[in-house]
Amino acid sequence: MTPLLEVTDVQISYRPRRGLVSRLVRALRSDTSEPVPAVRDASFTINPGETVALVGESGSGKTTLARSIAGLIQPQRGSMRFEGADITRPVHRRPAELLRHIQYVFQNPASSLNPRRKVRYSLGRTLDVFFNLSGAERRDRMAELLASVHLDPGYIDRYPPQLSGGEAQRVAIAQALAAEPKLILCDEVLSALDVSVQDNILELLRELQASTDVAYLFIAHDLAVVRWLADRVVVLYHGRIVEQGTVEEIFTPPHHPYTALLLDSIPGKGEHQTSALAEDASTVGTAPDAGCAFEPRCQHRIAGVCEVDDPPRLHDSPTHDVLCHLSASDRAQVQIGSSAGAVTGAPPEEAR
Amino acid sequence: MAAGTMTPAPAGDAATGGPAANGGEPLVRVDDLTVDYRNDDQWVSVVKDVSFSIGRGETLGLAGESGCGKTTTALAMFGYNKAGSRVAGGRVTFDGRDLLGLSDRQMQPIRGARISLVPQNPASTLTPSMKVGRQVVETLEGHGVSSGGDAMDRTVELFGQVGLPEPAEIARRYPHQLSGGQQQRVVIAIAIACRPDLIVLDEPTTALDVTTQARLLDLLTHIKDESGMSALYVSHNLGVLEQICDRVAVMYAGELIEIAPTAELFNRPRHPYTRGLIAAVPRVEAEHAGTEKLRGLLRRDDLPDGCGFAPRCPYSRPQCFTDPQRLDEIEPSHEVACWRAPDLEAEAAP
Ligand SMILES: Nc1ncnc2c1ncn2[C@@H]1O[C@H](COP(=O)(O)OP(=O)(O)OP(=O)(O)O)[C@@H](O)[C@H]1O
Ligand SMILES: Nc1ncnc2c1ncn2[C@@H]1O[C@H](COP(=O)(O)OP(=O)(O)O)[C@@H](O)[C@H]1O
Ligand code: SF4
Ligand code: SF4
Ligand SMILES: [Mg+2]
Ligand SMILES: [Mg+2]
Repeated sequence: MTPLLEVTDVQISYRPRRGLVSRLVRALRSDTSEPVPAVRDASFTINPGETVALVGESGSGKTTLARSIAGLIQPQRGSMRFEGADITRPVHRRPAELLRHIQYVFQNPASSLNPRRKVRYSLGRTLDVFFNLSGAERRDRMAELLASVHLDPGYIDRYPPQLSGGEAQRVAIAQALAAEPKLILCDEVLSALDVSVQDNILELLRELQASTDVAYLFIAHDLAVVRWLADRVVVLYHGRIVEQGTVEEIFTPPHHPYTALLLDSIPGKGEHQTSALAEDASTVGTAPDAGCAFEPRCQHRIAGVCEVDDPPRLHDSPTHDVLCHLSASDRAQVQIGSSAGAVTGAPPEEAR
Repeated sequence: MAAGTMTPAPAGDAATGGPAANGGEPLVRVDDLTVDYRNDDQWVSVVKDVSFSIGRGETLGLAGESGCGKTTTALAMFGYNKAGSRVAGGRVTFDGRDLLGLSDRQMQPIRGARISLVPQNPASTLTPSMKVGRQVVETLEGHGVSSGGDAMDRTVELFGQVGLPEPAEIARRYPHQLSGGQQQRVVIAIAIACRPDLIVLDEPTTALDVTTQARLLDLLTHIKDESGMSALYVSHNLGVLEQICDRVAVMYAGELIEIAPTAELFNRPRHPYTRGLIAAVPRVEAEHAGTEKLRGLLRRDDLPDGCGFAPRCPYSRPQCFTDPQRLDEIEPSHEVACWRAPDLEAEAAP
């Protein structure tokens, strides 16, 4: 089967600031280094009808990756294919059909909605660009789209500033659905929504997938949601894919040490690994030049190795990759009895 | 003087008087706040007769479904009204002063210095054309906290505290050069810069991943413990509220329907809506459990005269649709707006 989307060795950097002062400062510091890429060596695929979750902490490059797939930003290296055809080119040079088939729901709904245009306009425009509907048919479709995200028909005449945060997010989702795409890039689309609306939207996304075979790249930080919705999970740390695998593989130890930390940080889960969280804020997010990017925060680092050599990509299984110096059995050993093991292993005491 | 401006607390209102631990006068007291929005030339109340208080050093959580009125309540309290809205009734007392009676000019020194706000959409509050470090410096200078090089040093320190990587470098960036979560942390840094008495946080961690969120919650707890700051924390994430709040208030369709100390609310939720909300929280541990899940969603276009939750409530009786429900103390510090709450507890014994 040809994957719907195939991303291979993609590297994306934001251009350094070009202002005279910035250039002078760099020259004075004799800083000729290239900017640190926001995403490096990213390779993964999405099959038709599949949900791939992209997780990782703030600033890890999730949005950047999604933006490049949408054609909003150019990768410097690597390739991207959609149904086998090369799409490594900016959005204004993509054919209309492709624009329809890759829809992007932004992290911040305010940025996909024009504050001065009613919901009627935003939804209508998407329909007009891709479909030729008129009169009653067009009206009905708009009402249907609003209903699918659980908004009353009356919302059609609202301006975006008149919507609550969650309502604006739902309008943005409806707008993406209007194009009837093959792939929807969902950037934190649920985080502005409370659990009951979340539940309903998740249900909707699943139903839609069952009936239309749409695929999702689902950026999220709520691992409970990820576990429930995704088929596969890609974990990003500092622009690098540190682990990817099926949902079962990701949520069952042995994990990549960073994934273990993520699983441990879920709020409301009581004890978290404070040792790793409470560390000096200045080290957070600053990757060392050599070796493993996670090394400064890793509890299981191997001294003399991890800070020197780039970790290898280990294949725990044909579908499961881990970027780490520790072998699967080493990781299994150190993660036994850790709380990460407890989260994902046996059911909690009272449930037995 | 402060006490003189207060309406005497009605009997049985002990819980809204703030946590017993701190005693004395609460920092904030909201009485019967009603807020309207204009829709097609008529005013509709989206927040109805909401009353609660926040004690000194206390963190009150505000939970509820999308569109139920959390943001509207939080904003109206401090005169940050959204366009097309009006406060139709009620009173907000902050440290003994009636806030809603103040003019914009009188509010000016209070906003930012004594009460600060982290809005739901933080990106919108940053000035796109100004470097983010400069924006914090201006806040510090504007309120006379510090100036010049001191203000810049303090800014970098604040950025470090909220977990921004390479704080000095980030300070030189424009907002669009930051990720969503980074922008949000800049806004939080601005909000805590002047060490306010009260910080109002509207979904402050929703754009953040779990590790950054955990770090920020630790930071907020730390600042609170150190400076005695009070907080109103609006969130739909019950796990977060459970972790950070002393008490939690739950809203439904513009009304407050339950308020209780955090542990009490999570262990013994009494209102059927609160129970559904807690049951709906997705858990990593378990398969998506659908036991007492909420049915349907809030529809504002068909609210009954009685209990707003009646159309979705698994326990409703005919009179629920006609008799309005008011918050009632069913246990010390625990108030519920459901006349059936006392018998429901018996029914739900596990
Ligand atoms: N226009 C830009 N110029 C320079 N750097 C940028 C720009 N946009 C983003 N970055 C940087 O690139 C990195 C990745 O950003 P990205 O928005 O992709 O993160 P993210 O994983 O989506 O984080 P979040 O969850 O906070 O949104 C961050 O360090 C960010 O500061
Ligand atoms: N400016 C406005 N004009 C009309 N209705 C509004 C406006 N802003 C919000 N609303 C409506 O008021 C209700 C409460 O909104 P809000 O307080 O933002 O909810 P939330 O609990 O999600 O924060 C929602 O139904 C919303 O649609
Ligand atoms: S390579 Fe070393 S430092 Fe990096 S995650 Fe693995 S054990 Fe930790
Ligand atoms: S008053 Fe009636 S409808 Fe409302 S929550 Fe209680 S039982 Fe349900
Ligand atoms: Mg992002
Ligand atoms: Mg809101």
